[in-house]
Amino acid sequence: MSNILVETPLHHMADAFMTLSGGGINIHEADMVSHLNLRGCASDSSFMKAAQKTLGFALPVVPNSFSGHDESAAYWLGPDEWLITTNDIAVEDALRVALKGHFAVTNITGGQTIISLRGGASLEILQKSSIYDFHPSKFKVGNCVQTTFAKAGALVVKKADGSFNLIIRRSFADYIGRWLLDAAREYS
Amino acid sequence: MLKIHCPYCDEQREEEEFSYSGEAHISRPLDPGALSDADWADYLFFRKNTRGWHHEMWQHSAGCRRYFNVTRHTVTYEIFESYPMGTTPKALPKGDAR
Ligand SMILES: [Zn+2]
Repeated sequence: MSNILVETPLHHMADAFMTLSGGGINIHEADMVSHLNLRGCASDSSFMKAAQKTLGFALPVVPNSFSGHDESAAYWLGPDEWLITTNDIAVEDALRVALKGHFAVTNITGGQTIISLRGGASLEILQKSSIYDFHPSKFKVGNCVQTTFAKAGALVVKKADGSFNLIIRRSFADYIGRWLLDAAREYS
Repeated sequence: MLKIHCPYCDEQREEEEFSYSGEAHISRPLDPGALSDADWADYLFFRKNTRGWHHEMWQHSAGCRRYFNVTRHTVTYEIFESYPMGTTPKALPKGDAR
């Protein structure tokens, strides 16, 4: 049996991102990871504890924040909803085993992808593409926000190293990729 | 452009992130089968169309995707408050909007 080739939604733009990178901006699509949507009651301590035990870190309860590390992270999407990204495919089943009662784990890996923006110009690219206030005095490391990016929905994440991740829908990936290539041209 | 406070995200956000969902605090009849056609039509289609302070629903569609309520003045567009679903609004401001 031949191996199945795994291609991320923007694999066809990798070269274009590479050509553009350097100078003020570095764009690349992240390797494929699992995306899980988790629903449950934040005031249910047994749910929160079981999720924490499985993930190794607590689910964020402060709006517009995320927790975790490079391999696995949980993003606040709403008072009873989180996005979990992880490179450990066992997490999905582990959550289903550990959680009890009223909850939902939905695998949405095929529906999303992650674009990383690095470099001094990434803030300006965000600012000219979105209506949200990304000024560093307001949008800090550990923050994430669901807003519009070039009129498409996006979850924007500010990582510990100061770079940004855009978590976007697969169906908008090509459009946002092309928007980024155009928006980044003046900085490359 | 309105700036709307989402009570779940706890932030002021641009109107572009929201969708309007009409008059708030309309409760579904407990026994729709017992209603006359006129009463059912009234529940489904007829709204107060208030001139002045108005309790209305908004959805934070590009954000947390939750519905919540907003008290807004339909003439001046001033927003008095936003509050989560299932909670009661504060007493209305006296008179017209500032
Ligand atoms: Zn919200």
